[in-house]
Amino acid sequence: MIALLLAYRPFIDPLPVGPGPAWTLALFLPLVVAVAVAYKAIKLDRLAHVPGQALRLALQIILFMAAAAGLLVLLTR
Amino acid sequence: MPADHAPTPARSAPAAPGVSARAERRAAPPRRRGVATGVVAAVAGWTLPGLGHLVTGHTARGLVLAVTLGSLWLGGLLIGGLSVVDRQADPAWFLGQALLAPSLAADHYRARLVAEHRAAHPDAPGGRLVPADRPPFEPSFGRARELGTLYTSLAGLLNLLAMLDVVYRPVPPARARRPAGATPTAGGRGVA
Repeated sequence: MIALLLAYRPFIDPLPVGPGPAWTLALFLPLVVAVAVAYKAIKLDRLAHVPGQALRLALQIILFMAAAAGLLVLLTR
Repeated sequence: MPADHAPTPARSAPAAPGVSARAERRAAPPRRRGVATGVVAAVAGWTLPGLGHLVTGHTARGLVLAVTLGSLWLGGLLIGGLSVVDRQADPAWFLGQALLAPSLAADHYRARLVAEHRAAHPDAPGGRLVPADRPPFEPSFGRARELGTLYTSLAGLLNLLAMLDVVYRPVPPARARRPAGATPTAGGRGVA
């Protein structure tokens, strides 16, 4: 693992996470927040409203993704 | 045209005494601009995210978009590496990624590295590079590839929204040219 980290070149090589441990799912959180902020920055007329609205949208996306994942687990088991 | 972007008719009432210059600018009605100018701004936004808003005077909005979309795109490269931007291997994802011009540069750089590698190792097997080929960059697999592709493609798709927005967004009152002798007007909505 240390050899992998030493050989890692940012932006050239992928993160040495292998096939995908469970913690890598947390990398979806910054993705969701960035999507919410960019969308609200385009849509809203007043930028002062962006942080609150973006936080609300990010929470909604996460909740719906969790609900969809739970539904898929129930359907496939 | 979205209701938020509809131009507000100017009112003839002068600004009340004691109103600050910033409040006057906010109260002044936004002006429409030509579509050609908007298209130029959209091309600027394609070159670098947020640049279209910056050049049309929407500084704060442009900075927010530049930081957000730039971080998303760079985050994708950081997680998935250079191989997530691959026109030949993932043409459908590349359509989304190409909505940000830096993706074209990244794909060109990746293709150049691969071509140099193949020229230096003519006996290497064809097709997609694998770690056993000792390529100039590590190919990404699994979750890193999924996330890197998603980050960069979503950055491109959101940049498409930003480009469409800058075409139709009115010029902020601070940059709109006023007729000579005109006084700032009250009413209307300011734009950031």
